[in-house]
Amino acid sequence: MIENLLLSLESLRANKMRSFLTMLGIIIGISSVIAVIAVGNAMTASVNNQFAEFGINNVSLGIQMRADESGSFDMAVTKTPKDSDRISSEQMETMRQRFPEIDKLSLSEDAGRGKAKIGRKYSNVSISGVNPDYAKVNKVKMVLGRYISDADVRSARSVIVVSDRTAEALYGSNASAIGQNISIYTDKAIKQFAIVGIYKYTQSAMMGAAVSDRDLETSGYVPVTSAKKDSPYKNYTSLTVVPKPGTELNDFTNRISAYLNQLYERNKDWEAYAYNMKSELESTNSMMKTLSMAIAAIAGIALIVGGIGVMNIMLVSVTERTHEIGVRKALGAKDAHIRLQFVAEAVALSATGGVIGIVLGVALGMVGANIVGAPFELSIYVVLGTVLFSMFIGVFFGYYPANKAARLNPIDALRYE
Amino acid sequence: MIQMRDVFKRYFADTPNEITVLNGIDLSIGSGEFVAIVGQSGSGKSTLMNIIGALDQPTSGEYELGGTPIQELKRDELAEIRNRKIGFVFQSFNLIPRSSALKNVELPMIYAGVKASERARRARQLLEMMEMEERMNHFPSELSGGQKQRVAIARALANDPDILLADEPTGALDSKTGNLVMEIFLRIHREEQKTILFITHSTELAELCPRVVTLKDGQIVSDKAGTNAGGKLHD
Ligand SMILES: Nc1ncnc2c1ncn2[C@@H]1O[C@H](COP(=O)(O)OP(=O)(O)OP(=O)(O)O)[C@@H](O)[C@H]1O
Ligand SMILES: [Mg+2]
Repeated sequence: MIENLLLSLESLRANKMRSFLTMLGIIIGISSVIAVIAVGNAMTASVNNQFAEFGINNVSLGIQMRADESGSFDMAVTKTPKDSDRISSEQMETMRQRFPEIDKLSLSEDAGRGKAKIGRKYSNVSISGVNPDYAKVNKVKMVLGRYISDADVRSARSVIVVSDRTAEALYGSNASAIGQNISIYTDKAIKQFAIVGIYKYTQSAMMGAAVSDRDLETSGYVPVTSAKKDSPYKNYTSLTVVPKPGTELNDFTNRISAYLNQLYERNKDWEAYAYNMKSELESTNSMMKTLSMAIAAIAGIALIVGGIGVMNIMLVSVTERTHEIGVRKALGAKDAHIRLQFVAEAVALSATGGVIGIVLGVALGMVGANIVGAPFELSIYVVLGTVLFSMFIGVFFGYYPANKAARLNPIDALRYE
Repeated sequence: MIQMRDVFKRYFADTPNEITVLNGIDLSIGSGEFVAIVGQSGSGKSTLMNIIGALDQPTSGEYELGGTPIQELKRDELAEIRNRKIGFVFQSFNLIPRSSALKNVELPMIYAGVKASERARRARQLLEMMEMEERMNHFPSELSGGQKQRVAIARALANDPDILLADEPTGALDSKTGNLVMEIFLRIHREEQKTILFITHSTELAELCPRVVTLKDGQIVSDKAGTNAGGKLHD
């Protein structure tokens, strides 16, 4: 068997150009399969990461302008919801009691952006009014001090949690930043907070490193109540809830949407919404799967074409070597010996093509993954499976020519010129 | 060893183009005989030898090899006979071009399932016997005609067959080299008591053989002892 394979590699080498051209179909097929799988994996991983960043178990709640009878919005007038149109803290509390499966409820209120300055040192900060659950829902990682607490929210304290980047830029280190009073210059005012904690800044997967490190804007978290101090509204337009693990997300979303809309039944201009990303994630994933499968099918056709190329060249080879087959039979080769020899040659051809295809496919996949912006990942099983599959192509498409060679009549083969 | 009764070989049988290549051959060759087969071109010598070597089948008639009726065997059984019982030597050498001399000699042993180390040992020994040990790893294209034929003889002897069938083994060689090859056959006959059938167009070589069978139009027209049997070759 090994003897046969070595012998067949020999005959491949004897016909380099021809072997290469024959392998080309297999190379193209295999490399595109590998590249498609790798890029598909990378794409799925990158999309899933983006969804995970948003939180696939999060349910966003809020209010939106009510669609008119025809189902469209009146684009001409953009209205700002009155405080009475907004969701109040009391309503949230009632909702929490009605829905015990709510695990976390996160609030976030934009409170403007500005520059925190000390002398010539500065750092761009966007101020977010938050509650304690916000950190859990958005996976804020603390490195020093504490996060915004219930007490901070209740008393509307002027405290802030800044990023390690801001701490570094202004005070040189995390430790020296704690307890400092920070002044943030916004368009309208200078806001003053005491730094109580520092969190680790992690770059969002969605935005590249577009801004320079120095001008990077990071969030500064303050109690949602202190953010509200300067705002004419004390109620909320949006919030995020996370149900307890094991809750059926879509059902929960529908029930909470129905509940909220009940509260807005008599509001002519505003209604409530609730949505989650789960169905979007699922449809994106299934779309990507379909796309990968379509490309894989095309690659599969390339493989079949490659296999037919192998079969073709093997038929030529059998004809060319008819006399040699006759000699081998005169020396006592059984049909099985001849069959094995030619199948081995076809396998050597397609497997060599397969290996070259894998190398090429991995290279293409790496380039592709780089473009998609996700890490290149390829399981060893895919590689092994591909090698086995290309060998199978050799067996499948090599069998017919090999059998033709094996069934030759010894004397006819020997007399063949 | 070889028993043929009323053997016919026809091509295009039952058509207007029918040709009878072997026309009722009765032939009996005993173990250890050295038989030259002579006759005009097209008289059916090669056809007869191919049937004897189980490469071809007669159209009718009976043929037994070592007591086994050949017609009744299956393809694989015929292959086995060719592998173990017969050693072929051809006019055009028929070495496998991409294999070295050593690998060529090993080939019948590969088909016989001999294990690699034993195979290599025996192949080397046979090539030494043919005084070809220095050319062991050369490819056929790097060998002279006489050297190729010596490799081919070593290959024919690989599985220690009972019968050597040589179809004009000297036909492609000059007379001096041809004589050398003939001497090898005589030596093998003398030392190993193999049954040898030897097709030749050379009367001189034929007459050296103990028995000479002459074919004409597919029939045996003469079967007698060589006039110079046991004699010497002159260069
Ligand atoms: N496959 C075949 N189909 C038709 N005719 C054939 C076939 N094989 C052999 N013959 C015919 O059989 C006859 C005998 O051929 P064979 O090869 O046995 O002659 P030979 O005695 O060996 O001649 P030579 O000395 O030239 O080798 C020839 O006339 C040849 O044309
Ligand atoms: Mg002949």
